[in-house]
Amino acid sequence: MTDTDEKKHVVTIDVNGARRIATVEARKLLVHLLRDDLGLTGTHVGCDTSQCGACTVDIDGQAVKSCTVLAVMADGSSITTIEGLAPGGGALHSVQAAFHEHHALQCGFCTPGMIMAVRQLLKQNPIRPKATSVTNSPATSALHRLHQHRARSSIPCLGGATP
Amino acid sequence: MTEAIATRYVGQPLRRREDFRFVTGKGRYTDDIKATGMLHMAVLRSPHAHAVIRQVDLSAAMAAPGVRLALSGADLAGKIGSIVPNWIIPGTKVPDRPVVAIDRVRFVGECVALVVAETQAMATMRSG
Repeated sequence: MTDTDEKKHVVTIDVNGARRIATVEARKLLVHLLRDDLGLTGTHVGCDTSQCGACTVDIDGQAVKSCTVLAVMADGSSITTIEGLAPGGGALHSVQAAFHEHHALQCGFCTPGMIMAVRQLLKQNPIRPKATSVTNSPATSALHRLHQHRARSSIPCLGGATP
Repeated sequence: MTEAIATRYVGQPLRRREDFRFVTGKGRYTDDIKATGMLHMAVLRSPHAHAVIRQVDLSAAMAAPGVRLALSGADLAGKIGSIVPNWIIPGTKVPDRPVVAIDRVRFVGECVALVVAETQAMATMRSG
């Protein structure tokens, strides 16, 4: 392997509502900028081959595997990571709450990426919650249906069958 | 297990107390740990299914900026043990399998050399 261009580039991004500026090498991936430079370790590297989706974040409203994006490509964008979902005060985002409610995680390593992906799925495919649902919130109901009809093929972990 | 317990727990979702940190990204995993002065290691792996190692030249890696250490199998021979199964069925023949291959590799991906550097990128670059 040959030497890479080690010239540094300044990247300015909004992450979870805060302006962040970092100086990075051109080869640095967005996931490493988030994890190593900004300390947002909730986004995980699961496979190193851009397949698993554990590193999924929201870039300008689109769920993207952050290992497929160079940090310099994200310059000027607005990013939401798993750390930016919950409203605070101990409350959870509806998808986070649904994962907890439905025991949709085991070790939790891939969970942040799955939650970011499900959030996108629900944005693109809004599912009407069951009006007669007694104990489920609209989101948990939606996720429950998601379980049955969508997630098993697209998000294997969601059925709780595999970690 | 009584039938009541089976009905209550088996096949049912459990609201686990550890979930909160996992669903909010606050779980802590080995890769999240940063220590002062921490170094990173990359592994050079065999592209061959079966091959004789004639020479492992580490001089370029050692001379590269940020690299602290480069090791071949020969460097480690006799200093660390072999990889052994943790459960050996009596009578099983256990072949010697060094952590870093010494004079021969026997599968694609077998470890041939190790590079330790100040950043993961430096280590990975020099192991290629």
